[in-house]
Amino acid sequence: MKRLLLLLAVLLPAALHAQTVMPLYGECSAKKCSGSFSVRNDQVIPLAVTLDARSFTLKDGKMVWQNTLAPGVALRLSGTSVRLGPKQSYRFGFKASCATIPCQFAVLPDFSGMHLNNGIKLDMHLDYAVYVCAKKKECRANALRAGGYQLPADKKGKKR
Amino acid sequence: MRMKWGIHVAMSAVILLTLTPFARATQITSGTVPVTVTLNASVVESISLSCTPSQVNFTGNAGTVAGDNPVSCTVSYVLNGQTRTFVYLAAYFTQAAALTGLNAGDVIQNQNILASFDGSAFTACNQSDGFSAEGCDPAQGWQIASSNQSASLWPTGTQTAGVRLEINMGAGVPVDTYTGTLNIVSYAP
Repeated sequence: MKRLLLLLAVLLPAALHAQTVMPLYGECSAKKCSGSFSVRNDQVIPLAVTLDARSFTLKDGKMVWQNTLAPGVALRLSGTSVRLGPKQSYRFGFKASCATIPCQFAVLPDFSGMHLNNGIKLDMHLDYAVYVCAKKKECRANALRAGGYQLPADKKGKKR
Repeated sequence: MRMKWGIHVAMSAVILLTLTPFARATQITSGTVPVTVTLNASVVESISLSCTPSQVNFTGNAGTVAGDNPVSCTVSYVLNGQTRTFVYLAAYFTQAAALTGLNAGDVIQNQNILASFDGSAFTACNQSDGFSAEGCDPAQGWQIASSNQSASLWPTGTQTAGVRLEINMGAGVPVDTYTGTLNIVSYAP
């Protein structure tokens, strides 16, 4: 019993403050780009979530983030913030278009902590990436390959 | 009266005769045609992030002042192992004036904030980590998990990392009460 309580004492703080996003990416064709993703409050207390959006590029096997959306990227979200109750999920929808194809951007849910009077407050972010290509199929994988990433599936293919 | 009763009997007989064949047909049909139910399930990728405590306090006025608590960040991930390679954890400020005081003009610059990841050497938070120029980590962030790791850690798993923070007071940080926000992000390219 004591061991169980000790285990709970170790695991509970982490479980109390976890936040989740799913799925992690969406793929779009240039003609029609829309989708949705969910954020979940794994805590047992209410939580405010706000959305931020940034463009990113893939180059030399690295992800380089911009501070804002690139010019030419138009993003319309179904909402920009939500207050989640304990264990509650919320699904955000989006519609987007890019002036140049391919393009990538991410919506970053910001799970803000409480107001702070002194010291450093930690804000947690997760990301939902959107890949826009001429054709939807394999859009993300092709963007990663073009950006210098070697996917595990490709490595397996080489071995064969 | 008799005539009415006769009509009722006749109508009941017609109804019975009409319905009975349907009932029989239904029984026969259900026995010969299998009923199928289509099941659709989407198993999607996800990442969960938790960092505790959610704030770090510093008290001191000279030298290097350590935060009152190390931060423990736990990343839980469910990924498609065929198309994912890494999971990163990155920490960054959004401006060079990482902490601002109550008095106008009092700031602690990001280069004076130091971060250590899982016992590594402390690094100033003025690194260009891909998220900002005020990052506390190397390019792309600290690697939490990768496709090169064992099956117990990839492509699903939970990793916990310790982040310790310090402030290098140096000389000339005015007495004040300072606050700032450190952004922690977990992502998988």
